[in-house]
Amino acid sequence: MANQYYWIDALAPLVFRSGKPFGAQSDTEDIVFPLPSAAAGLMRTISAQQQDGFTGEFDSGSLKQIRSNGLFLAQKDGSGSLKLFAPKPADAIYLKNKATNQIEIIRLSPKDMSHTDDCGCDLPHADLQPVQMDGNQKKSPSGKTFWALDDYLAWLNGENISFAQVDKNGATLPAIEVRTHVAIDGETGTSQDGLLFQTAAYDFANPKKDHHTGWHDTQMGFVIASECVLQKDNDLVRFGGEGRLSYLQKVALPADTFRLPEINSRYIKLTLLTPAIFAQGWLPKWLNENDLIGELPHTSLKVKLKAAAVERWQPVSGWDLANHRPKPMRKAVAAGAVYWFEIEENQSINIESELKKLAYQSACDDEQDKRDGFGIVAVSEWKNNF
Amino acid sequence: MKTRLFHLHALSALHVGTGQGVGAVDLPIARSRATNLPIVAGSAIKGVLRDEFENEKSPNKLKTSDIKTLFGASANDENQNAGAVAFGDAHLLLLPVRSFAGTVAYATCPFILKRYQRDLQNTGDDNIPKLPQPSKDAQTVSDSQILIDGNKIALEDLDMNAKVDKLAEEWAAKIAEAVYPDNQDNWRQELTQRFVILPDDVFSFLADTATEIRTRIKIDREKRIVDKGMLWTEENLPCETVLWGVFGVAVSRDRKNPKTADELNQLLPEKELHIQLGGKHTVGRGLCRLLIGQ
Repeated sequence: MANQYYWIDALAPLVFRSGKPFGAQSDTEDIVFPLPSAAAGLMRTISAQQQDGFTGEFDSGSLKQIRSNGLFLAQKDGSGSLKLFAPKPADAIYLKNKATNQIEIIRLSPKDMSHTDDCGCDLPHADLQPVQMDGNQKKSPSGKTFWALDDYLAWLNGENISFAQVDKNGATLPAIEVRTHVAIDGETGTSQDGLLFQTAAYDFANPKKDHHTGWHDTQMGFVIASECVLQKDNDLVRFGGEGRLSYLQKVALPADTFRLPEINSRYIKLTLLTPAIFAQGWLPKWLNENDLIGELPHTSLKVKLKAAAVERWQPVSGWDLANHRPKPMRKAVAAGAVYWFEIEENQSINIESELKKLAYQSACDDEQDKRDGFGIVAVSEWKNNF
Repeated sequence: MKTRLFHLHALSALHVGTGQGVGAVDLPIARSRATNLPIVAGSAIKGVLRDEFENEKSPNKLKTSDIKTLFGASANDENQNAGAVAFGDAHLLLLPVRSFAGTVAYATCPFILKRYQRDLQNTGDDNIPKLPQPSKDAQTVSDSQILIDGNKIALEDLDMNAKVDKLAEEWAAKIAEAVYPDNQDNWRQELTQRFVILPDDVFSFLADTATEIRTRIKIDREKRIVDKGMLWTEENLPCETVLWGVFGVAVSRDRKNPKTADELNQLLPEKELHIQLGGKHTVGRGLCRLLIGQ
């Protein structure tokens, strides 16, 4: 079913807790970019509320079938137009060039080391190639963690883009607001013992300009891609912790927003737009762990994994609203991870039409993780091999 | 979720603080991290309203079961449920500013009106004025009390050109109707005649610098002099400040008291409540009118 797109317009700073247990001291670190399952859960709750009032007699099985395809950081300008962002791909790193003293974006690519006798590496599988880059750079200060979707797609398409361009068009997460809460004793009128706590939240409102010159006309928010068709296109919802309010508004995005770049070879890359949960840790179950060969999800294409760039794992948990208990913690591959594949030869299949079936869909192993929007992948051609 | 608007009208200086201060003021008021505009956290309004509805002596007293359904179970309650009502933060709508003419001006700006307009639209209001065009001049009503020589205003130590604008009149009337629904003793006129839409930059400056700072001391009872280290400053939103916010009412999550959103909505009637919000209540801060809209 085709995606519907919904804009989250936050009315107050939104709380997305990390995996720290309740009761632990909260601080500005105790907040994470929301998981795609938070968006999927929101769509299911609102769908049930709009249909039958979410009376508690709902059929949780059928609600869980509602599929969402990711949650994206977005920005709305004064005219109402939306700009989407994607997490920085793991095959792009910011480094300062020693010769020019300029920050550059360096592309990591797999390098075949099978013909070299004098060096090797301890990757989990002998067939895996390490990703490498040219030397002469040193580590640079951090840059934008979210890229404008157009820059992101250009990068996936093999174009080299400048650090200045990414820095100008990209985004970082909004400012974090920390609130201190107390509970007042109704009898004494003083704060109750032990009931002082803090919440950290992203403030999505239009930021102020420097030197009292008003406010920027852009505000941050989220766009949810979901197959759920709501009865009401505009609703007041609670998203994140503490019951903070947001408007959920249906929006139209240009048809080519999520497009598949042209693919003219047997070499492809999958880049994660949302965190992915795989049965074998970083390795999808649809790949045989012995020979790294398997069939791409949603397609009949047989591929062999050649390399992967995976950053630190991300904890995935949450609150089970239906059963009133915390969900067990699982480890996810962080968004931005890149997997390089070679499509096996002698397959009488139209590669591009097969890959269209996978583009911007989930590559997770578990069906429910897929419906929750984990592991949404962007598909592109692997062009820049050494 | 049923969307409703509320307005908060301060009848005394209002101090909803952050509990800490890093600047010149010891106890600053809470402000939005992004906009730096003053806010009253939705959790503060929710807590005070719960207390009001639990109060045996209050004419607004509700049944204990309905309070649990509306506001959620207490932490030590065996049967837990989330509250059906969710309060958004209250945002600054009108800031009273010292004025050379007319004593005080009730100032707002296009940035604030745009957000206010969005919330009005989402409550289904179909009688909303258009937004004023950005202007370097202040915009007032035709019978304004704050105009000097018909084309200038002077607020705090700023003087600037001003012009009469039809949209300013429409917004003044709209806000005055919300703050004084009964129009008792012509309070609407008192507000509209001092209403002004300032450019965003001027308003952002005043919202930072024209709040009320009170210096307080503690006297040593024996010596009748100030206790050592007992001098501090508190920031307040001035008396007559007007804020607005949104709250939503959903269906009951309390299995022992199932009610629809509409039934719960009826429990929060459209009326004026007198409440005390924020800190320093023993020295008169935070007396407010809370006006719950449709």
